[in-house]
Amino acid sequence: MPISPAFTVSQSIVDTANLTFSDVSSGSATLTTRRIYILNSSGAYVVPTGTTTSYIVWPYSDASIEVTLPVDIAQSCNVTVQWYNGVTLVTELTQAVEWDLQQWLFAFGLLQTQTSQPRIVQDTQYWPDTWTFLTNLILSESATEDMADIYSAQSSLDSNEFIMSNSQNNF
Amino acid sequence: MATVAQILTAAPIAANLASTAIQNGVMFGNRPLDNQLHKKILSTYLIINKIYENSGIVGETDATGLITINSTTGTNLEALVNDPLEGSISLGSYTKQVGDTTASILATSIAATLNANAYNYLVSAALGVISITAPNGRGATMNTGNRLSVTATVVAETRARVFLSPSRISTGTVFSIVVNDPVLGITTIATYTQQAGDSTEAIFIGNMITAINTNIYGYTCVTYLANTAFYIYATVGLGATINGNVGAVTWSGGSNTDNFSGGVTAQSLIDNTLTQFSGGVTEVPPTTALIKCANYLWELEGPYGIRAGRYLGITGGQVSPVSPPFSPYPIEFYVTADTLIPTGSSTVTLNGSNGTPDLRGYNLAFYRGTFLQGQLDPGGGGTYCAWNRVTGVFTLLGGYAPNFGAAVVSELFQLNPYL
Repeated sequence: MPISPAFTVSQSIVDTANLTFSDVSSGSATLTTRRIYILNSSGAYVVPTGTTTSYIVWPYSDASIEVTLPVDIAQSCNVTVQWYNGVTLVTELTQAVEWDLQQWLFAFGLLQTQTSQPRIVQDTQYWPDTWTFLTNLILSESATEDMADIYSAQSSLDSNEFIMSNSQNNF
Repeated sequence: MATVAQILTAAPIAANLASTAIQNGVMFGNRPLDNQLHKKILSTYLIINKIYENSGIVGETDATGLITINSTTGTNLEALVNDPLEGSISLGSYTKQVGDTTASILATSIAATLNANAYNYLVSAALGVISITAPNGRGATMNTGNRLSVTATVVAETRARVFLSPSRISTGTVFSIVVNDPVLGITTIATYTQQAGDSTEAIFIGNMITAINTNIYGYTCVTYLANTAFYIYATVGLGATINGNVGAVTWSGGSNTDNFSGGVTAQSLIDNTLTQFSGGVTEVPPTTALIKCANYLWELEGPYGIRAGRYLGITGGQVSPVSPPFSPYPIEFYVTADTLIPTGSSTVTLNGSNGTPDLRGYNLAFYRGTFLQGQLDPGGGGTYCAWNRVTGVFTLLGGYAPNFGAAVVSELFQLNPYL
């Protein structure tokens, strides 16, 4: 049975710059290695610091691999994994993937503030700004997962980055 | 009190209930209290749920071990567990009974005994397989170390015997050797006819022993003191079951009898195959921050969370509540036929049912036409009210006929709950 490529990506909640790629392919083929390409919405390949290629080498003997992104920010990217037998490309799969736990953790931080300072929610713009922030996040995830539109998704995430960097004016 | 998982499960329903209440205008009258409540609940839920899902939080799964009963061979079985908390424990011991005629029946019988253990291990059986589920608190630790074992009280069989010492009668006398076999019943296992050559008792007994040892039932005869008497040993396998049964040598006009004794039934481990505990998952509990935020959400859900919990059958849990930071907003309206207290009515129950707000637990200041109403009769036809903060029953009292305090159309009412 030929290989049916599949992979998943998870983000560490402890260190949000850390991603774990897992190969969940089915079928069989003679394979020796894999490559991971992470293409962001600006058209640049994202690789860990010190990597000189535009891809990340993922040995076939490892069912999963941990990748540390150079910058810890929320991103929506097109991720391509290629499966190789030697230098021969056997198959590949591209998926739009978003890692945005940084922003969810920011929202969770706001919530923790609410629990200790409940009257903060009486600020006129507190809830509306929170909802704007969440709306951006949900729209971003929807654009990535449902439409593979990493550009719209990244736009929403960038809006939230602005809100986060100016949080003293918003919350 | 609800757990974090339960609070999160109830939240979307609570938000929906709050939204419905807002649309019905029940909570607000002419003055909205918090028409954003459903959005606040939902957004708070989304944040906590996302963190909850990514925090690796898992509930405990109890490990299960198996004892497969292969056949009815063997007589007893004791199940032992090396429990991580209790140490080495016995779940119980079972000795096979007459009614355990198949492996499946035997497994069910063993499981019933083991299930009565004092350590909260759950034991059941189906199709000859005994399933042993570890109690809470062990998680994945049960999966390692070959914690399940079985043992048995092993005893070798001792054959019961009778002691007989018949004497010669006369040549041609027929002697029957009879036993009361627990399986076969009264059985003549051998006969011997006294011979002319039985010139002495020793020769007679020796010849009778030879005759008995030709029996087809497995009884064995052994001489005693130079053929002065003999023992008959019961068939292998009868063990103690033949104890007390008679064994005899009979002839016309007489008999020599004894009762079988000394028989011990063999005991051995019931034929089984073990499968060690597996599938246990150790609980990863929510962090303090998650519990704190979930409690905040629970307070935000308020009566709608409780109602959602009722729908979901949520009871119990480990999260302690925090005090609500706010009282509900005042309820203010001009009396019409459709308001919380409609024209002509003098009572309403504010307990969350029938679309009313749940103000139970709060004190209530009631303003009628901007004037604060007391709960004591001012006399002189003045109006006042009664508020039961346990039941939520609010009653308008006093006034003149014909209304006697009942709501009059266009009156301004304000209900102000406070802690």
